[in-house]
Formats: sequence, structure tokens, C-alpha cells
Amino acid sequence: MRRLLTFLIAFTLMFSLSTAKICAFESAFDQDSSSGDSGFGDNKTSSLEFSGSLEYKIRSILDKKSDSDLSYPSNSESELELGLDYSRDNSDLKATLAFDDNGDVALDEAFIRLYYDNFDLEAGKMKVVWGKGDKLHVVDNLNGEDLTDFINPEYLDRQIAEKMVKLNYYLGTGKLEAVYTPEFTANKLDREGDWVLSKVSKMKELKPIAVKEFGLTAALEIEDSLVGDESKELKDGQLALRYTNSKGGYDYGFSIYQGRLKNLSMDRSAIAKLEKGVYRDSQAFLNDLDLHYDKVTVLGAEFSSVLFGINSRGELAYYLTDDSDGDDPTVHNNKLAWIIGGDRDLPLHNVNVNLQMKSELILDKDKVDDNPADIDYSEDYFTNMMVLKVSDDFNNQRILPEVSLMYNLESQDYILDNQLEFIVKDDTSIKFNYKLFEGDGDTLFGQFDENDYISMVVNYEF
Amino acid sequence: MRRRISILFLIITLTFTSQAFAMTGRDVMDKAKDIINDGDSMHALMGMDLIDDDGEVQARKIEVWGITYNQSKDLSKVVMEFRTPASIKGTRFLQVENDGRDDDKWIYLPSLGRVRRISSSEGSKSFVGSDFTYDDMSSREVDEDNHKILREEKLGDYDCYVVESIPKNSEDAQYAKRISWVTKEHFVPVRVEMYSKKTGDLQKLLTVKHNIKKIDGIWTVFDALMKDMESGHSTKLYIIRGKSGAPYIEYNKKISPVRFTKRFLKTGR
Repeated sequence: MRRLLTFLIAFTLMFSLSTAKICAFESAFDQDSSSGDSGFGDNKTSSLEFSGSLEYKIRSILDKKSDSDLSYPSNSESELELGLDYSRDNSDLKATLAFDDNGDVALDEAFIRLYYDNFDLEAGKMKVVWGKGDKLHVVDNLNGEDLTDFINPEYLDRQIAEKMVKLNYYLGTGKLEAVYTPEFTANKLDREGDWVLSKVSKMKELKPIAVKEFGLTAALEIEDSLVGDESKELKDGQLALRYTNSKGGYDYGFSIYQGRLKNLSMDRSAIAKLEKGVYRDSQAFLNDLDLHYDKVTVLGAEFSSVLFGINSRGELAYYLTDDSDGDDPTVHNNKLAWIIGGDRDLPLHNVNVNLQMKSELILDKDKVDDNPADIDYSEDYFTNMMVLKVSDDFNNQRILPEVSLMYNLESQDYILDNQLEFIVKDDTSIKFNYKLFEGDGDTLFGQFDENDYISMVVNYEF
Repeated sequence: MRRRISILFLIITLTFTSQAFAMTGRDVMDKAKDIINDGDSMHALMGMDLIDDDGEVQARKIEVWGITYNQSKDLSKVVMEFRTPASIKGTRFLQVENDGRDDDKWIYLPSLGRVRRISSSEGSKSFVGSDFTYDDMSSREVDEDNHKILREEKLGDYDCYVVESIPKNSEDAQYAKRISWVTKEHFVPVRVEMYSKKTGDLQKLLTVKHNIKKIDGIWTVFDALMKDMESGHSTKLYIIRGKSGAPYIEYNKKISPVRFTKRFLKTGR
């Protein structure tokens, strides 16, 4: 009923738009009293615009053949995204609705922005991207990620909008941003589809044991808890400050974030105890398991510039948790993370090469190494992921080939994405992808070794 | 004797006259640059039609603002906002000219959700898929080339100087040379031939419609066509007109400096 109501409201808005005073290009030359610009006309009007896209996607996973006729199974889905932009003299309203073919409607983003001389104020459900990296960040912590389709969607599409209040204060060429979110949203993981992470699968393997120990209902509750969910408690709010500026050809910034890590932490020793049949009831198990999202303070720095003709960029973040000594197995250790990279056009057709390296160093690894139950226990405490993208364009940017490689240096697993996009007519594009996942089964990308796929996406924007 | 003195006087007068009014290629291009840069500010709504060799058109609309923020050094800022098509709507681009170092350039892409610095070395890259490159869209410093008047010629409605410009440093230039037809009346280039560095052949041809008029006291080009001679693809760049027929362009009007900031790139305000 709620979905139907949301759809009806959206449809009514769309219908009324056709009769509303939608300003054409003349509005571009209207007097803008807030900025003092000159204009071609003196009419001050509010304007309502709608935009969006209709996307049809079909994907076939190549390593999974159907038993009946040995053909590759394919999934298709369509999505309509509707954007509403309402502008007045000193304010904007922006909203995005997403409709899928299951009948679900989601309010992707919805916020207002109020403009003042030296600052603007934003409030609502927003996606905020911090950092100078190219779709790869270590200082961008305000939004959780929707990983139900792993990292196959674009970075911005994966971000889950968060309800927040944001102040942007302009000091000369500098900008100070202050954000408060009363809640936080954890990363959303796939539970039953093709992109269930191995750590989630391992948690699901506990289900038979939990059923045996506690019964089906309790086991299902445990399973739900282990996958994680968004939190609505005030103590899980987030606070962040960021200052950015540009000087002498350099863009730089500093930030501080106080909130929670977006992936679950727990006391893994409780799992071993469960397997030994120690617990009398599910609540005792859950109490011992201590599912939580670690508090974290992230101190960040970022920069970008053009160095030797390369669009260079970098980010550095220090993640400070409650486990400063590194000896609490239920809390992630402090860590350093950074990104360094850049892109450059080559003197070869319209080729652009974009290379970035994301590194993480878990501190106090000596406190973790001898405790397999520690949440940070791993083979590698210093990891490096290389992201390389090579792109070109033909026929006045109507044919866009691109190859991208994400490669984990230590575990030697990778994703290779081969993409070809055609801009067909007006705002219609057809994109083909052939994506490969390779590596050992216990690695980040290798766990999806059998998920190599081809896909076609038809997109129409309006 | 009297006849010889008259002839001599005529020759001297003519020589003196031609020396007093003779222009060099450099003079012509200096004047052309002054015309282009005239005005403390500019604001226009422009159309850019990408035309395939089979006539199919992809239309774009771009709103452009420009100001001279340092008169003594003639330094400017330009910001562009794409209005259509939907696939690039909301994309904004800011360029700040600097003294003694490369221009600062930033782009805001809605799909990226943030402002991104870009390199001046991308000047040879196509501007949103058109036949204009980023460098084509900005003016080249007169000092960067050697200029020579090849001849004077009437082109359509206009008497023109035909000026050959060869880069002093070919590595920094897009083209091996340019030949420009610059009108004597307005000092506006109405035809520019751009020659390839690789082959020496005519690579691109820019032609301007002969309806140059003054807007706010400044000679203004309303229609230009850039053709890629190899592919046959063309790009028409023109100033959009309102329902009354008035062109959407104005000069020397007050433009808020906030337009030329990263705040505007991100918010559009």
C-alpha cells in the first residue's frame, strides 16, 4: 500500500509538471537577485524540472549453466529513475525516486538546499562524496554501501543516501563542511543471491548448528543479525568536518569523521563455542558474539594537482578505533589507508590511462597474528589494490571502449572488466560488459570466480 | 622637372601612406585578439550541434559566463554549464587563467558527485565530442606564433587579411599552421584553416556566418561551423535566440564572482 501511495504521488507530480510553469532557457537569463547577476529578463520565477533515466539490464553468468538445457541463465531487470528539481530564488529541492520491476519504489535521495551569502545549508537524505580519488576513497565515510550486487554498480550508485544536516561555509576560496547524521547505515550485503560474500556464507553455515541448538526461529534471527542491518539509535549518529581549498595549482583538504565502521565486528570465539554446543539459548550466544559496528574516528587528508601533465590525486586516512593497543579481538585495530594515483591522456588517439593504488596497513599486527579469533586476523596486514583503467573514444565520443583491472597485489586476485558503450541516438546508450573474476576462493575477488558474466544495459536519459 | 617632382611626390606620398597604414600579420592577429577579448564580462547561451557526415544532428546547449578578473594582466575566468542533452546536463566546467603557470581547470560531473581537477594538457582533447578541442575553445596567445600576411582577399561580404600563423614551438601547438581570413572591418576571423602536424594536410576548417554584428558595442559572431576534413563530421556553434529573435548574449554586465567558484560548479548557484 505504501509503495502504491509513493508511486501515485510521484505520478501526480509528473502529471502536474506538464501543466506547471516550467521555465525554458529564458530562465537562464533571468535576474538572479541572490548573486547579483545581470539577466535578459526581470521575471523571477521558481522552476520545476524533472529528469531521469530508464534502464534495462540483462546479465548472464557464464560459469553457471542451467541443468535442463545447458544454457547460461540470465537475469533481466529494468529500473526507472525519476529526478525532481525544484528551484526558487534562495533554495533548491532535489529528489530521486527509483522504481524497479518488482514494484518497489525507493526514495534514493531527497534534500533541500538553502543558499545564503557565505554558506548554504542542506538537509535531507543525501549522498556525500569526500576525497579526491576517482571512484576510490579512504576518506569518504558518511554513507554506507549497497553491496548486494558486489561492486558491479558505479561507486555513486552503490552509496546509500543518509539522512543528514550539512553546512557548507565558504571562506574565500576555501570551504568548510560540517555534517551531522542522527543515524548511520551499515553496508548492505547480499544474503541469498549471486554475490554473497564468503564471510556471510560462513555465517550462514552456522544456521544448521543454530537450528540444532536453538530451533529454526532462533536460528533465523541469528542469521538476520549476522548479515547486519541499519541502525536507528541516536548513539550511532555521525559527525564530520572537512576543510578544502585550492592554492597555486593544488587542491587540498583535511577532514575528521566520527562514527562507525560500516562492516560488522564480533567476538569470533563465540562461534567456536557454538560449534561445541556451549550455549543454552540463542540470546546467550548473541550476547557472547557481541555483534556491533566499531566506533571510529578517521583523520583524513587529500590533495590533487597536475604534476608533469598527470592529473594526480591522493588521500590519506588514519582510522582510530577503541582498540588503540590492538589487543581487543572484538574490535578492529587502528589502521592507515591511502590512495595515490592519477590519469593522463596519451598521445595516441583519445586514449586515457587512469591508475590508482589503494593501500591499507593494519597497525599492531603482532597483537593479532597469534589469535585466529581476532576480527583482524588475516594472512596480510599490508594490502595493496591496483586499479587501472584504459579508455578511448571513437566517432566523436559515440563509441566508448574501456578496460579496467582491479588487482590485489598480495592475494593476486582480480576483476577484469571489458566494456564497450555505444551512444546510439540522443540520450540512448547501449553498454556491453564482459567481466571476469579470478583468484583463490578465499580472496576478495576470487570468491566470485564462478561469476564471470556478460551483460547488456540499455539506458535512456531524459 | 615639374612632372618629375610630381611623380616623386606621389611616390613618396604613397610610400609614406602605405608605411603609415601597412599592417603586419602580428598587428592583424593582435587586433583580432583584442576584439575577442573585448569586454570585461560575457554571458551567452549557446547551441552546439554535432553533425554526422550523413546529416544526423546531436544537439547540445551550453550556458557560458566569462570575466576578466585581472585587467592589467588580461587574465580571465570562464565557466560553462551544460543544459542539454540529459546525459551531460548539470556538467559544469571552470577555467581560471593564471599568470606564469598553467590555467586551473575543474569539471563537475553529476555521475562522479564531486568536482575534479583536470589537466591543461587535455587541451587537445575533443570538447564534449565536438570537432572543437578545449584549446580551440580558448584563445591562443599571439606571441606563441609567427604571423605573416599572405595576401588580401574578399571572402563573401568581407574584405579580409589572409594571415598565416606558424607556432614557434610546434610541440605546444595542436596544428602545424593556421591560415586565417580576418575581416578588415571588424578584425574577426571568418575562416580559419587548421593544418595537421602529422600530414601537413588541411585537418579542420572553421567558417563563420557573415552576419557579424555589434552587441553592446562589441563585434559578435553568431554562427560558426567547424568541420573535420578527415571524417566529414561538423560542429555548428551558435548563439541561441529567444522567441523575439534577440540573441542570448550580453557583454559588460555585472556577473557575480560566485559564478567562477567551485561552489557554483557543485551547486549551480
